[in-house]
Amino acid sequence: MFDVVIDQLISGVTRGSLLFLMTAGLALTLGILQIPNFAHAALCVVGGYLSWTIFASLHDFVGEYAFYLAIIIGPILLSFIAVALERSCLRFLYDRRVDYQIIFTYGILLIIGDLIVFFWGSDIRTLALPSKITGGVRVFDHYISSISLILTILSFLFVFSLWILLRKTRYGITIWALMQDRTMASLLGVRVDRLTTIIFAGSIWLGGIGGTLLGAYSSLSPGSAMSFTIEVFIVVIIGGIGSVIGALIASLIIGLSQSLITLFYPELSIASMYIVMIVVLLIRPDGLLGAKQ
Amino acid sequence: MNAMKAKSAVLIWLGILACFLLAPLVINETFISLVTKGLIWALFAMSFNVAFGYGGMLSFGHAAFFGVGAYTVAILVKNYEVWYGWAIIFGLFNGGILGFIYGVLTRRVSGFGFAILTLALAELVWVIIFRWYSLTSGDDGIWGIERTDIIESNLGYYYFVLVIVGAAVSYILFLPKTSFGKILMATRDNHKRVESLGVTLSLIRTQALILSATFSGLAGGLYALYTRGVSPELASWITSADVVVMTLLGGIEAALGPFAGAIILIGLEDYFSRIFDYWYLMVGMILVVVVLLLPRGLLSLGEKFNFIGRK
Repeated sequence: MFDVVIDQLISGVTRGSLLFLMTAGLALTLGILQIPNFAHAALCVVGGYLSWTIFASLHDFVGEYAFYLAIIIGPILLSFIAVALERSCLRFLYDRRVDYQIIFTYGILLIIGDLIVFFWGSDIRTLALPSKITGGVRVFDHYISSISLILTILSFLFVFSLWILLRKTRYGITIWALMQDRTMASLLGVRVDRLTTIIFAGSIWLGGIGGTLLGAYSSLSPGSAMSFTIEVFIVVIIGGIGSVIGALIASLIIGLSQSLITLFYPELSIASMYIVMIVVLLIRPDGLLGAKQ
Repeated sequence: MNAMKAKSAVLIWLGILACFLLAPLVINETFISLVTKGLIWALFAMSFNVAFGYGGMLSFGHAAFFGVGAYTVAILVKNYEVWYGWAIIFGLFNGGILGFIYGVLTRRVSGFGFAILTLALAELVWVIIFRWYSLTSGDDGIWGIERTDIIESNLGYYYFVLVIVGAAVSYILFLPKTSFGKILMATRDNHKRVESLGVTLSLIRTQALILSATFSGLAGGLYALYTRGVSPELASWITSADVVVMTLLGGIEAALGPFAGAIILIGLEDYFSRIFDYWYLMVGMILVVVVLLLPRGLLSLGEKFNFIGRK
């Protein structure tokens, strides 16, 4: 019994890390730009599909290295899409009511959902890991697959570098200024429009990596766009809007609670994250690490 | 001037009802069935607008009320052979009770948090419907509900729906004239001021949610009898989203905006889903265009002519 619990904990941490990689960008757009981007998870999944296309078309030429090329090029292609989206539409919404921002990005989500089916069909797609990083390690009789390790290490690496970027560098200070007061920041010589585009593209790039690893860890399907949409928002809400570390904690909580509940009450596994969120919001309406509004 | 406007709005609404009343004289049986569907969704959109338009609460979880109303009617009529009238009344009450639960659980959040929390609650209701196999038959849904006596034919059911929807929508249209409606709209515009006048904000919001949920449950019950069956999709996020789209398409500021939006969207869906596979791609495009170019909905186009009463 104890062994099974440990295995479930490992898979919970892995799932949580994957969730964090898809959520981190949303925490940034929501916290810094105050845009509730409902299409975030769908864009992540599109990133996964782009990587898959690169992977599938290059696999015959460069063999296993196609995976490395895919995870580098796919998210960058995705961030170009994000730039186009931000420049053409989103920028007209910054001073509108939050309801309209939600509804607009929701429309984008619906469009993306159908475009995925249009371009990639409804089959399940997976990316095969290179043979060097398949397999795993054995710790005290428990098998930890290498993709679990990669996901966990990557998510902690991202949290650390985002923390450095936002708290310890000049760019971070500029971003703080943008977050506090757009007009004032622009008067002080910050190129607000350009910085906004960069932040948005960067957070979608991060999500593209998450989407690619989703394709490597489990699989990509048109349905994953929607199921992750709800999940990433729940993570951000639980963690507290604007807090990247909060998003990591919340992702791990969701991942762990899902795998543990699957073990004891399998029929409740879908409901677990909603229950966690409702409980957290009842106790702390602003999330675990959110600032009081 | 205002009195004249109000009078003309009433006349317009009566005129629309009269058109619906006489419609079966000129249109055929299949089209009547489509109009029935449009009317039911129009009621759903109007009741959603009590929360969104009047109360400023963007709920992404109204499907739960609709679904609970529909499932109550389906279970009572099919499994317990209850008279459909009682079943609809029970459905409406269950919707209202769920609205009360929503109101209690969401009393501390607003705006974005409210949207997500209602979405989560609705997904929870959907999971319950999906997994409670002994009661709801899960994924299979409940099919083959008999419509008896006056509502057996499509025409009879059309008039049955028209009477109920007409009465309910009239009440919703009348709401902004009542003191409750005025307080509710004030909480939307300036909640701090309303609170400092001694009004308990959460109480008003919960009341509005209960009202909205009750009418949504009514619409759900009517829909279950219309399709003669229910499936879990009725309570899924797609339904919640559809009603947001309808309301926004028609415009939330015009009193009859959601009503018109629902009828238009049902008509478009019926036409386009026959010739085109990607219906939700179109819905998404409609949303994007409406938000960017027509934020106040289609009815704002006709505002100059003032042919639809403003609230």
